[in-house]
Amino acid sequence: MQPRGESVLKYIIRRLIIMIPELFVISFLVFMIMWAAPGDFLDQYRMDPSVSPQFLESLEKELGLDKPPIVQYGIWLKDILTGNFGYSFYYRQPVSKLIWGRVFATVILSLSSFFFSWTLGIITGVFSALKKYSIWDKILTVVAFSGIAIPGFFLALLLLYIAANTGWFPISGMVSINHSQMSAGERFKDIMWHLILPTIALGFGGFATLMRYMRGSLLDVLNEDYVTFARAKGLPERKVIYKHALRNAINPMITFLGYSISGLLGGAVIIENIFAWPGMGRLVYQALIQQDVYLVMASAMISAVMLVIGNLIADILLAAVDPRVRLE
Amino acid sequence: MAEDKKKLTEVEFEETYLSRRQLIWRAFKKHKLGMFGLWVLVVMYLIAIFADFLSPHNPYEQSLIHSYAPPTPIHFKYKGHFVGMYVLPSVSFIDKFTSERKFYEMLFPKDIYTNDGKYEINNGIAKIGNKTLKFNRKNGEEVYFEFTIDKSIGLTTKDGKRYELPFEKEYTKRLLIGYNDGLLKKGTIRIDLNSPTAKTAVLSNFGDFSKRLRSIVKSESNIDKLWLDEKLEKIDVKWARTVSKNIKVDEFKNKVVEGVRKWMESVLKPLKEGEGSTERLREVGAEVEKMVLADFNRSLDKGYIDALINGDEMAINRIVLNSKNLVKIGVDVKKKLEELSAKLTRLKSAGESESVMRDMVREEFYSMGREAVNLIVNGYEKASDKKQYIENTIDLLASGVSDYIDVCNLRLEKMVKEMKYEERKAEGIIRECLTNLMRSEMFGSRYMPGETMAIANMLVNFGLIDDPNFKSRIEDYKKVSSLREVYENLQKILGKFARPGRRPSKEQMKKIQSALEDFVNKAEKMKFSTESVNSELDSIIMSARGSLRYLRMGRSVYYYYKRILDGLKDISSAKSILESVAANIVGVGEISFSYPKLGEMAFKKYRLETVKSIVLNGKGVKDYDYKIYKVRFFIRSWEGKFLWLFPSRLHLFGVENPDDNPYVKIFIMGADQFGRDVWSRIVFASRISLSIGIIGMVITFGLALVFGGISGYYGGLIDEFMMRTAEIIMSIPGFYLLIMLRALLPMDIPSTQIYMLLVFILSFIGWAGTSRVIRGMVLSIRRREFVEAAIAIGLPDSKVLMRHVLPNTTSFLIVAATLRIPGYILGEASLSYLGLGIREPDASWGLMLAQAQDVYVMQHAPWLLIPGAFIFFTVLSFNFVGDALRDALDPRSLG
Repeated sequence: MQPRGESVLKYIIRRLIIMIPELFVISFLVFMIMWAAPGDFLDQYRMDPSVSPQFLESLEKELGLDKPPIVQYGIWLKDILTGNFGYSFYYRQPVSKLIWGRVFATVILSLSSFFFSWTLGIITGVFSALKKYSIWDKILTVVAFSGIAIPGFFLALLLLYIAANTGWFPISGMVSINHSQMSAGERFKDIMWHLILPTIALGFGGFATLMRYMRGSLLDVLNEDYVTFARAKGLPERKVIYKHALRNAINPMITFLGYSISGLLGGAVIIENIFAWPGMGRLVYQALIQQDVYLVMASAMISAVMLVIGNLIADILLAAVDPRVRLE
Repeated sequence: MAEDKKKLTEVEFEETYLSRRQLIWRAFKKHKLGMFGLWVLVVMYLIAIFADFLSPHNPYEQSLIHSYAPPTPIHFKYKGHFVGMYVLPSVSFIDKFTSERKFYEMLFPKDIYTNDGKYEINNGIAKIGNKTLKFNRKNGEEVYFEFTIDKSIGLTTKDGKRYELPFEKEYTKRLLIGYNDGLLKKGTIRIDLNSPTAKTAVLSNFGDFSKRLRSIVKSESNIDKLWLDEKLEKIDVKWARTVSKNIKVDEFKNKVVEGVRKWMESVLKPLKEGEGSTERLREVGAEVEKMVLADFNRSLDKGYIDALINGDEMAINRIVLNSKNLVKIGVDVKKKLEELSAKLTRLKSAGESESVMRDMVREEFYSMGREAVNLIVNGYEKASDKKQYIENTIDLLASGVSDYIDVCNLRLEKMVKEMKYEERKAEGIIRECLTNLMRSEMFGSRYMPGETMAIANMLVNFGLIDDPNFKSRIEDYKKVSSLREVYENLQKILGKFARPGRRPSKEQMKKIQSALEDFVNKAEKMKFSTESVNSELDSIIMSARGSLRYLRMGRSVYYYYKRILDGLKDISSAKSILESVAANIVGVGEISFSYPKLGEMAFKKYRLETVKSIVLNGKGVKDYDYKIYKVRFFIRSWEGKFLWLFPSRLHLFGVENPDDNPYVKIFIMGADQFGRDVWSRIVFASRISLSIGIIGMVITFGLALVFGGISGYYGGLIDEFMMRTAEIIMSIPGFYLLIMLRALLPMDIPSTQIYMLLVFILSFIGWAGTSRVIRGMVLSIRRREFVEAAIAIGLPDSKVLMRHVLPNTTSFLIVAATLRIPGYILGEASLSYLGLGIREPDASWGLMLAQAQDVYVMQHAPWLLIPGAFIFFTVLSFNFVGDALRDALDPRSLG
């Protein structure tokens, strides 16, 4: 085991080293896109005749917008290396503080939808593969196709419609009005209660996709010779499926896992908007529209890092579950 | 085994003998869902191609009276006879914030039968021989029901016993259609009150009644079911004016509007740097906060009490919603103030201004909600007359104050943002402004000069408009408001002297006459240029009639009215109204009396078959006919462009509307906020959604083929470079990249350009992944013998690539392309939904869905969600078709 563990470590380190120039290029690209976009953050003040040119000039200097973009980027890079994510123009607060304030809500939502889609997706996928061509399989297939085809925001609107008409679920936000008066247990329940609809809206598409893949993957494996062999050997069906088929069928899913991790922090802009969920998606969307450069940069970098790390995790997991795969 | 063999031979047969086209066709025949998808897509594309032909209405044409109109009911039977499809005139509107659905419906009787015979109605005038009946209704007039309600509350306990307790009979006056359809149709209505709130409320809040109930059931947990029955007993319908019913509300409204206006102006006006500005800022902030809070309390009142009394969980939801809205407004205000603070930071007193800001805009704007709820509960508990308390709050609700705040706010924001936009945009804003104004005219019973002038002035001051029409319109509004002043003076005098059944003295008469003269003189001088103003004037004159009805002053008054008439010759509708006014005053008795009854008649017959007998008994009216408007196929209406090219008026279906009645429309899928036909807009929007997928896909795959092909074929450095580029594009989170690229390009460009940009952006994001796959395929194909042979012969690289390598990827491309298209459709829809894509007034499915964002709107106009179904089915169909194609071509064999 020792040499293998060592090689994994080496592999991870190598990947992390490759990551650095990649992140560098991404950050440069994002910065350039932001810079190339017409106008800048101060435009809204320039339009206002009541703001004097002197004031604008001083503001420009303060925010560093008067320097050439390369210099600006250099400053940003230097700051980032010293752990400073910069200052949001709009909120006039450190970016790290802003993002940190929102991260909790987003992580809760993403994690819950992540678990929703994965547990349900895999279970139903396996179920429908095992009951191939039964009525259940057909129903689940229809559900899956609908899940893939329905736009997330439309599903969110439909859920909102149901909630508004039945009153079964809260319509928006993360907590009730009287949240602060609740006991800890009630608070937890309150948040969970608010979480249900956004989770479904966010996770349904993923659930449908995962289910289809799981089903296809398991069906493929069940047609393999070694499964036939295992059956022929007289192994109980349970063992054939759970020990031989399922373990092999799950491998392709692992790659997905990496991608899902990368989406954890940024996949919910519209859903957060619709359900008034106080997460990062809304913050970043606003920042993009307002050209709040450093806020955008920080969140884009976070997402990119998550993506790269997600891929890395996927590779490692794949190697862990599938001995055929070697990390090089 | 035999089966296996057969299958094998079939596959072999397919692979050996069939062309790709035949393979695909066979697969579709086998794949039922694929076939279904194919058909759906064919229909969709046909719809997109023949959009103009299929739309009964111009998708851009606004019709404010039909704002949020539900799908038009299509009738088949008239008085028991089958007459084919027809529709009735209709108007509808859902007031966005007052939580109450106000539904106005106009009736246009065709003829009326009385004891005198049949009155035929032509251009709003009912005639029988020489006798004329005036029958002209305008927006200002409404129908009220006066009736007694027999209410009883019933419950069953958990052990299965049933109790029913009658209330005291209740005499009420309510807006006819705004009340309850179920009650009117069936005569009874049952409201289930099963929420815990309701149970508690019933057991504790109904005085004696509660005591009796409590003695029966002891505790609310014993109640199994609880309901409220309302039975309509006696109905008396009256024409009534909405005007001057609640002046308090008007005052309040004006105050709020005025306050907001002031605030807006002070925000926008140059803030002078230096001394005094911080104080000013504090002032503005405090004012706004007070205003918002006050409004918040008031609008919450009703909702909360509603919830308490009826145990209506929806009402509670509404409160939450209302408070959310207000909090949203609060946040907007906060944002505005923060912007201001940004301006101020550079001042000498930077530190000071920041602390002011913190004070002013408390971090916890949300805490307002809690405060307000407490306030209401306290208020309700303390109120001596609870019923009165509730009634007052209902009145307040009717004012829909938050609407105005929001409207002003939104307008303001837009105006500031879009100040430098092209004229087209400015026009759009103005149209919206006016739309909102007209809405307020419709629903506020009165015209509100304050708000209109504020907005109009603002528009002019910002230099947003150069439109001469607009200026003249403002002039018109100014004139009207000055006329209104005079009229109000007149009304004051009339109100002083005119008592029903009393004749004014000579002196009083003189005063009335001089006031009238003033009115007439003013009115005579006016020359209006727009229709909307004319109707405004109508409503003024209509209300004048209301108060003059009591006066029987004889012919001298008639003379003045005559002069008004002469002065307003060009306004035909005003004229006819004035004539009827005059007729009323000079006491053409039977007409003035039968007029309201006839209206009542017709209305009841139309809405209320069950009470027909009541109405028909002894009222002189026997029967009536109303106008019906036939639905016809292949009808000529608005001018569209058949196949984008040929101007054509022919449309698949529509309403035959010979007298150009603006109330007659056919909305098979309802109407949106601006009264535009949702179906027509869906049809036109389909052009965008359906083409963007195909075009985007072509561009993406073009790019992917070039990049993937070259990089796979040549390998080496080129390959390395291209694949790294693709990787980097793939590692920027997709949706961010989408929004970011959109932000890269200007926002305020026409929809056609946005369309091109969207295609470009979506393709730019999509090509990376595909080109990697193609590269892999090219790599493997390149090693095959036939490619090596082609190279060995000495064919140039380009030829090898084009003739031998790429054609072998076709099967994969066909499948992948079909499965990719939905991505573009969804991408466009999401961007448009966020307001970054196609812009108003053009339509796109995503943009149309954005209209349904507001929960209240969505709840009451669920047909606005229909475009989502179109997106869904289109995407689903593409997936099905892609699935079937995959079955046919099995791309796995191709790597």
